[in-house]
Amino acid sequence: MNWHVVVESKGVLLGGFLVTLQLSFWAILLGTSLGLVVALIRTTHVPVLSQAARVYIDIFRGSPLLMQLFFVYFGLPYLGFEVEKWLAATLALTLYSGAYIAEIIRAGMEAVPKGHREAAASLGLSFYEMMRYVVIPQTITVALPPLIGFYIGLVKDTSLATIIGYRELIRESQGIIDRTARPLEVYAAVAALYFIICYPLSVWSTRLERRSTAHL
Amino acid sequence: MIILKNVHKRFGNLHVLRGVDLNVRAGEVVVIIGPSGSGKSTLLRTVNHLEPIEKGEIWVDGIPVHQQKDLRTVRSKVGMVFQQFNLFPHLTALQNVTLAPTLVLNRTKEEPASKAMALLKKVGLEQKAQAYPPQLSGGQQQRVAIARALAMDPKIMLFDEATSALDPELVGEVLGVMRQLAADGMTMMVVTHEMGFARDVADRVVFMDDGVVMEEGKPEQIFANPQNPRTKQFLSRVLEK
Repeated sequence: MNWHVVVESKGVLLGGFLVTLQLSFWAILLGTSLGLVVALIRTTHVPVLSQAARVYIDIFRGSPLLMQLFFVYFGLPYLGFEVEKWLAATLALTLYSGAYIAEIIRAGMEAVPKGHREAAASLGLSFYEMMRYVVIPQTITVALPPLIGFYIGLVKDTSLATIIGYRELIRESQGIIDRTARPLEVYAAVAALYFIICYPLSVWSTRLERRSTAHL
Repeated sequence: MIILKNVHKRFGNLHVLRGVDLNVRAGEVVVIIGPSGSGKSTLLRTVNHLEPIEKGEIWVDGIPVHQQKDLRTVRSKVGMVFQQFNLFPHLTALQNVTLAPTLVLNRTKEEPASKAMALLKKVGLEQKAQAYPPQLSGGQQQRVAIARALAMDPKIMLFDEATSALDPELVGEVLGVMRQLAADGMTMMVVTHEMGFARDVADRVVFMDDGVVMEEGKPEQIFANPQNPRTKQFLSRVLEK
């Protein structure tokens, strides 16, 4: 083993790491916002809208993320929208994660007993207040552990953005390997860097699960 | 206070309410009895529009509920207690009681909190204010649910089989709170299987079957001398237990 190559390229690796971190952050933030909106549309049963939400979920859960990255990056220019790599990667990951997150949140919402909504309504709460103070807090307790599990997967899925040439961690490590021919050391370092992002998430998830069962 | 005129309601092909007429005066305690599937719970749920109706009129304190207007006002005047308690499990007993007054009546934090403590004391649970619902017994949860409904200063209270999900030894504590409310002059509509409560507390007993009011009258009259054969049959079945 020659760890020297890793130390030598630490600047490049760190740069890739920060790009991956940034991409993960935006995919999680935007994907969750989109997922929440889609879940709300799905559960309110507004005719055309909720069917559109259904179709969106089916398409993006039913096709590989790799294809979605291709279609966003190569497809949008056909329609007259030039997209930069970072934008294409963020957009594809947002659309992809939004579909999964919508279903996780919807399942969490449906776990809230109907009686709680009726009790909230009978107390005079508006739809918004019922969602904000009764349904969503309970949904978070139920949905957060599976949601974080999905986030961990999403962080690792950001590596697929390398396919459109986005210079995130994998892409940068590829470059180092091409130069140094030391794949094992470089990949070990890359794995460790992903671990640094994912491990805190899984610790958080375990802690939440313990807390949510604490007063039940 | 409450006027129901020719109320009809269907669930698909099932015609659950087939023209119900019922008036409840201010301060009156009306207990609705009847076999399961007779439509009594559905009727109660139409009063605060948890169940919309297809035909007929419902007036609550002068507001036409059937026109779906001022629902928020209607619901803030009508408290409801459910069979399954339906406390919000992520909030403490105290927070359950203060949530609606803070949001709906736009009150500051302090006023609902002191009032909520007084209400929890009234139902005998001031020492459980910081407990979460899963830490409370069924009887305690239901008493918190009553305090929660009372926190809106309702003019009317609806009880939908409030003791049916309780262990037998816990029924008494909830009925006790309901008796106290009735004695305080609250207007109440109560759907129950507790015939003892109906006999002692009701100003009027309403017997429902097949989605209509079969018979109504003072409790002593209904229990001692029912006129309708269906009422006789129902009472003989429940009272013999």
